[in-house]
Amino acid sequence: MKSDHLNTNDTLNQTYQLFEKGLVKASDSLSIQPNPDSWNQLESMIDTDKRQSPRRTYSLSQWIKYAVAASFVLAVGVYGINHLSKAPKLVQEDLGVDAAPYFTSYLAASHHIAGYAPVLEGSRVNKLSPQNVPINAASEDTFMEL
Amino acid sequence: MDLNNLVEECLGGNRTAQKQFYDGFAPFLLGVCARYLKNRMEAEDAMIMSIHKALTQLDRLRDRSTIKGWMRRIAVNECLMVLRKKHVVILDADQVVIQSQDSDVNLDLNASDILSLLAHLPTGYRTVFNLYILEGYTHKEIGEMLGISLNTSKSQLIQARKKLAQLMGTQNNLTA
Repeated sequence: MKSDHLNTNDTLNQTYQLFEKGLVKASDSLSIQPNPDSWNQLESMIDTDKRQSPRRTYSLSQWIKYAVAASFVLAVGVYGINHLSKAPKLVQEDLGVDAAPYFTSYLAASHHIAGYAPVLEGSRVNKLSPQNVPINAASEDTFMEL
Repeated sequence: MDLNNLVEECLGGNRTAQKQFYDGFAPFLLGVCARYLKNRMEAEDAMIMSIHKALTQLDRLRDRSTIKGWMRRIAVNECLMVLRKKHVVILDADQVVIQSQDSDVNLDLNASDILSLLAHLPTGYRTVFNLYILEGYTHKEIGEMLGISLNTSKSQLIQARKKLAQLMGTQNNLTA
């Protein structure tokens, strides 16, 4: 049945073909006057668009304001993070890594100046005692040199 | 005001130009919409939506000399959207009862004749007939637009022609 349908185009009679041509021609020039209210309807749609369009401009300016505010917050944030990250590091350096060598070198220098033997790790009690290490003349020379 | 100026003024939001644009295209577009949608109110709504879309997308129109065809396509798409929403684009041919009607063969057709004839066609037939015969789309394009197969589009067209021939009173002259 479908193949019959597909062949119908060839079997359309002359009258129908003329009719179809006339239909095509007439439909090209087909125009219908719309309802007078249609323009009002369209106008209200355009007005709605217009009311929405300033919001877009406002959004753009708002976006710029947000961008400036965000930059400021970011700058403050970066400064804050740097500040906070430095503080614990300094404490850590003082107490953990740098404190002992600094203390040792300080003691070594001061003892050397004072004429004490250099302080060694683990033997501070004995060697730091002034009774165990007498002051000698060499230390004064060293002091004078310094 | 020539077309280029009219388009420029419409793009600038000139209300008088927009009204002129509407006055110039509304009857033509309503004619297009009325061929697809039997209901006059639906056709009017589709026409208004089409002009609204055209006005908001005028800046996308590259060749202004093709504006009539461009607007016609917008209107056709708008009508197809309405039909899709109603889920009545394509009817099964077997479900359609073709009623024999006697009518005089009149090749000098006017607007009301065309609309009257097309109104007698079921939605599916009318849509495919409009797209193929009156708009010039291919069956492949129609299939893609309506989401149907190429053969369905062809069979819908044949049924539409049969029905129209029937309306003309030439049914007996057609080979089944």
